Amino acid sequence: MKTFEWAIEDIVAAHPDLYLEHCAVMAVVLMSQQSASPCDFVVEIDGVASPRLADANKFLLRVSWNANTFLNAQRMTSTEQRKPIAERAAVALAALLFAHLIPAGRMRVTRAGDRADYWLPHSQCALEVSGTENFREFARRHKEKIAQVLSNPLRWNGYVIVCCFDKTQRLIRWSYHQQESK
Amino acid sequence: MRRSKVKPAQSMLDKMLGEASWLMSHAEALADYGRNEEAAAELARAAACEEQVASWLDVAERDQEAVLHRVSAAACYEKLGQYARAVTLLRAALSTPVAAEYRRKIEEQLSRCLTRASREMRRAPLPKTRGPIAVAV
Repeated sequence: MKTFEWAIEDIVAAHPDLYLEHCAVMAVVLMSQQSASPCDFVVEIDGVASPRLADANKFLLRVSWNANTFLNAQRMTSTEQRKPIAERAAVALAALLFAHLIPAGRMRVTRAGDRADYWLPHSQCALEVSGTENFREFARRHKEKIAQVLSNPLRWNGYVIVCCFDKTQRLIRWSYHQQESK
Repeated sequence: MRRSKVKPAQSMLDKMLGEASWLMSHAEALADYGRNEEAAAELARAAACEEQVASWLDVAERDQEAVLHRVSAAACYEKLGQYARAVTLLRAALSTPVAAEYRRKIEEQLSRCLTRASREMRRAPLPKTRGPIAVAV
């Protein structure tokens, strides 16, 4: 299986239109509870075209972090609620994947009511990201996100990334979806 | 000649879109850290930036994207408790044709903001009556 190893801190420079430092820290909160740096994820891909992936349908992602991010993660552990941590951690991993694997993968965000909507304006795609610490929620969450990404207001095609930070299963499902009428 | 005129405008718009996005994500981060006052200030900046971006997208004839950013600005104002401003933006957003499902969501947001705006208006103190205007003779 193809393996990529990247530092979570890469996302800060790769996405100048987003403030992602805290997402990187939240990702380290979850990853460091399960492993020393680097932390491994199996990434299942469906329909995602990337020159670096060729025809692979899964790969191993090794995410590393530095001592400073780890320190910030330790400080955060005592103050944050679990759900936002999993969601922001997933945004960090999504940002890492797009930074390294998708040309023109710069992300932006808008607000829609209480939630954030992510976009890849240069490739005209919407993006739905979600994170869970419970493997049992994983498949259902991915299905929900597919419906959400396809109902984006601009009717753009879209990517879905769902990250599972379960102690027994560290898994990412990354898929690409096209509008039917296109 | 014409091309050189279009490029800077596009790049300025792109820069503003990036700025709005950054402010939005920074506001979210500050809120995550519980720094609520700073988060509110940043959200207000994000809202203003989104509003401006929407106007520029109108000029660039990117109507659907303009709607998206107007709704985003409205969501910020709603979060800040500035419901009347949100109402104005949502009404403007609804003046552009959008997909039925999205329109329904905007209408729901508008109805929620209208309810809160009228509640807010009832609670607001009456404006002071104007005093006599001194006229210099």
